Amino acid sequence: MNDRRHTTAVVCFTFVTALLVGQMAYIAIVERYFLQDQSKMQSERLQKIPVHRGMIYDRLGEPMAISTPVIGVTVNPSRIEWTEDEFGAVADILKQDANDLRAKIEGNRSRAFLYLARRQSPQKALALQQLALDGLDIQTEYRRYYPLGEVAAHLTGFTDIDERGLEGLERAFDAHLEGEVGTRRVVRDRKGRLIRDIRYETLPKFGEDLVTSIDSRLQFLAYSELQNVIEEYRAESASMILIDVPTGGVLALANVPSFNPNNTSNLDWENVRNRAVTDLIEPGSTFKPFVAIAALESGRYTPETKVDTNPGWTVVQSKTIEDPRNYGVLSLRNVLVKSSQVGASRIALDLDEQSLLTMHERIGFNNYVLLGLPGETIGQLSGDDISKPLTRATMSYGYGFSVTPLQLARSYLTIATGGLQRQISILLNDEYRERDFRVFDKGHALQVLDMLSGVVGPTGTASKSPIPGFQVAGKTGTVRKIARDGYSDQHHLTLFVGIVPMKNPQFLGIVMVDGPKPKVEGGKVSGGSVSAPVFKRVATRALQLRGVRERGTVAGATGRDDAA
Amino acid sequence: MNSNQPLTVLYLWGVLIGFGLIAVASVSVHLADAWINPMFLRHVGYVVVSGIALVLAYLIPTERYSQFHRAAWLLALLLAGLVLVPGIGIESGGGRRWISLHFFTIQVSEVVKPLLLIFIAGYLANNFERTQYSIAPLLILLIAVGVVLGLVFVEPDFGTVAIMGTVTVGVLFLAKARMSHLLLLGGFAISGIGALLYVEPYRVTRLVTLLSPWEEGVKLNEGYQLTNSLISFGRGELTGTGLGTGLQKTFTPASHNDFIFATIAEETGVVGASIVLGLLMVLVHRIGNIARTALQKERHFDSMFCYGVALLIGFQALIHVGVNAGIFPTKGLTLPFISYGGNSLLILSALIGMVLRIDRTNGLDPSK
Repeated sequence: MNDRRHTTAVVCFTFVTALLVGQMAYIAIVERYFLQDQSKMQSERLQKIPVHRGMIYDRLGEPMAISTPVIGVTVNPSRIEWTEDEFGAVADILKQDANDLRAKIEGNRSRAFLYLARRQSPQKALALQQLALDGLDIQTEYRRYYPLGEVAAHLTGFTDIDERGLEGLERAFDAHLEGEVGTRRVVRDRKGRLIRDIRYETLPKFGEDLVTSIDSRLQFLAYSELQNVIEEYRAESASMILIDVPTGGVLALANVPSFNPNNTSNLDWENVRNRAVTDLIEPGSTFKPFVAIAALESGRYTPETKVDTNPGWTVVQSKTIEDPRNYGVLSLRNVLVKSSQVGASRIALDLDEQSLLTMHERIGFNNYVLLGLPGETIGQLSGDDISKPLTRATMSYGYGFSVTPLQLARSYLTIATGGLQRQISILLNDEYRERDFRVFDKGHALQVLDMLSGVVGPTGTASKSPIPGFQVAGKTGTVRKIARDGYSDQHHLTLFVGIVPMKNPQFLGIVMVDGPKPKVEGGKVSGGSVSAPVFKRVATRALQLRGVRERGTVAGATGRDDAA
Repeated sequence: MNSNQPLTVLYLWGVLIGFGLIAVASVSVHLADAWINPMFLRHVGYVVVSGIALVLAYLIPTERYSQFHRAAWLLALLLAGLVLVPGIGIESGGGRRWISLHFFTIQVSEVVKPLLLIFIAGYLANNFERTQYSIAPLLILLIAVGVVLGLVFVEPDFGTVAIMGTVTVGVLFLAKARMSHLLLLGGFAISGIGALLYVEPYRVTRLVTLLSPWEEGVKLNEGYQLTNSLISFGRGELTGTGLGTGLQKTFTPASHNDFIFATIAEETGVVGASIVLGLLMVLVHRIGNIARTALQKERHFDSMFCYGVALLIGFQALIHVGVNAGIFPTKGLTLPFISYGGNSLLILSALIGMVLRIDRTNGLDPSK
């Protein structure tokens, strides 16, 4: 009896123990795949491996856009059960209000992902990690920084908070600059701490760098000269493009007013517009050199052919076209030097009906430059009947059609290169650059180039802007802007396109100033007085930096790269 | 009696305490990112105090307790009552289970266990013959124990009530109460559980959870502890992931006490877990043998007390493992000698000290 009860108890215990061992073995062996899958669902995560965008450099290797690491702080609101103190500590680190923070999380309880803060300094990561809070996560992100700031804002553009290019080069070369986020499978514990890596699912691909043809020293100078001219003439805006003639590379492209690409929270979108490539202007007198080329090509003109501009005005289809004063009989050269409307009109009416229209097309006014910067546009023709003499006359001094400053720069590049159309590029060593092709006879181009050197000469319209030691070819333009009721006498656009050195062109620059006001009451503004000095100062510096000396002969202006 | 038996009990106690140190170190490491962390250090402190308690308990002859078995019952009743009084009992985690002595907090349920064991053993020793033919001592005993457990139930601590209720019936079984009487009481107990399920339907949920813990909506709520515990076994397979490498302990609440066995299973596999369970059962068996020897020598208090201790350790271990392995409903119970917790460790060690004393008496007593 004694032992029966004892033995029964021993048997019962042994039986239950065996049952438990069997159950443990069953779940650990038979159900392990199911259970391990459950474990993976619970603890395995796909973690992003952040990659930074490629940098943007100028031709000297100076950074124009940099990605710096920052942190984003995220939470899983559905899992957060923080104490008052913990809310306080997080709010403290993020410099937010604890109650706001709590409200934000409570309001998103049903979600599994929420940003608490982004673009925080990496130092905060450590402080947050030390709190070891359930549901809080820290992610490395990158923030774009533009060392040149507003000086090159229209070039670099900017990105959104996720580093997607929105403007400028950032947008134009987004695919090149952006990397591909990698992912790896990791095991995390309940508090989200990393236990171990399992494997890479996709390898990260870092963004590639972009080397532009920009010279940041000239970019700085161009920008500050534009600021000066706007201040001096109380102008509304100003733009400049400086091109390296041998390669077609853009050395500087600036617009004022500009914006700060490092802080895009309160942008005035009017200032974000890249006027140099988007704004349509009538080229005015800057078109006259192409009238001269058409004249030379007709075979009936040489630079010395006389054109009678007496008595300083002419009537075409009952419209009076007049010069500022009566220049008398001018050579073709001096029609450009003095920028005579009457002279240009009479030549145009003397030429074939179609010749200026053909010229318009040959110098690319119908085509995009395809620089790549966002917002690039092309000009238009007014659509007036070209067989009418007045249409041809007004076209000869650059009215009745529009172009962008960039298109105008390209047309002058064909003169600077001795008749070649050359692709303008924003990249250094642009491998996709199109080959040069001939547009004009070399002799005609060089003759016009020579004539344009008189513009900056003592009797020319830009006589105040010579560059000591160099012959400069250039052309001024003073365009009356279209107001509500026809052309305005008050609102001008002054233009200057310059090429230097004349006999071995290295630099081509276009300066556009919109709305300059005369310094004195009743005074005048003109391309020669307002825009040409800007070119002079920037080009002088460019010549110094490159160490160019005037040479006796015009070298063959082909794609020789002797930049920097 | 073979002479190495007391040492076996002592050895087993030491080995299990050692397992406990390793397990607590492992489950607490993720809490402070260091092996030496506050929880582990406190556990080391409890082990030292427990060793002292074991020695002290060994030094006191058991006749002393048997004289005071009514006082033990009164003290248990007093403590179980006091802890319910706001201001004396400390509320934490949805229950009032603790009394603070400033330098130490008493977990009333744990202290009630040895007091009730002394009472049961003392009462049965006084009524040993009668118990074998009359139902009256059974009823008196069950009512006396039931009053104390009723108060414990109010805390609430259903786990202790279940354990001590089962231990009481088990001791009566070994005290040779009539099976018909025991079955009658068993019928009452089953009706009681039925009534309980009817009054507190959340206990039905517990049972349903046990059957389908993976269902959506259950998995992350009522089934969360259980599913995490089961995942531990699945991850551990036969031989485990290695000491300290367990992952589930970070997901399982109460991994340091009510679910410590799951972590052992994850880190040492079914093999390691079975060894721990096996060692516990060998200890239970050894204590049972000491009880049987005392019974043969007609020292009824010693015998009934040892059976009580054996059943307490045995039931608690089996239920803890059963809960962890998903065959018993989720109920907070620690694993004897292994789980973190000063009160449980201290009291169990003192009980072992008393068992060793009884074994010594067995050896000294002239054989009848």
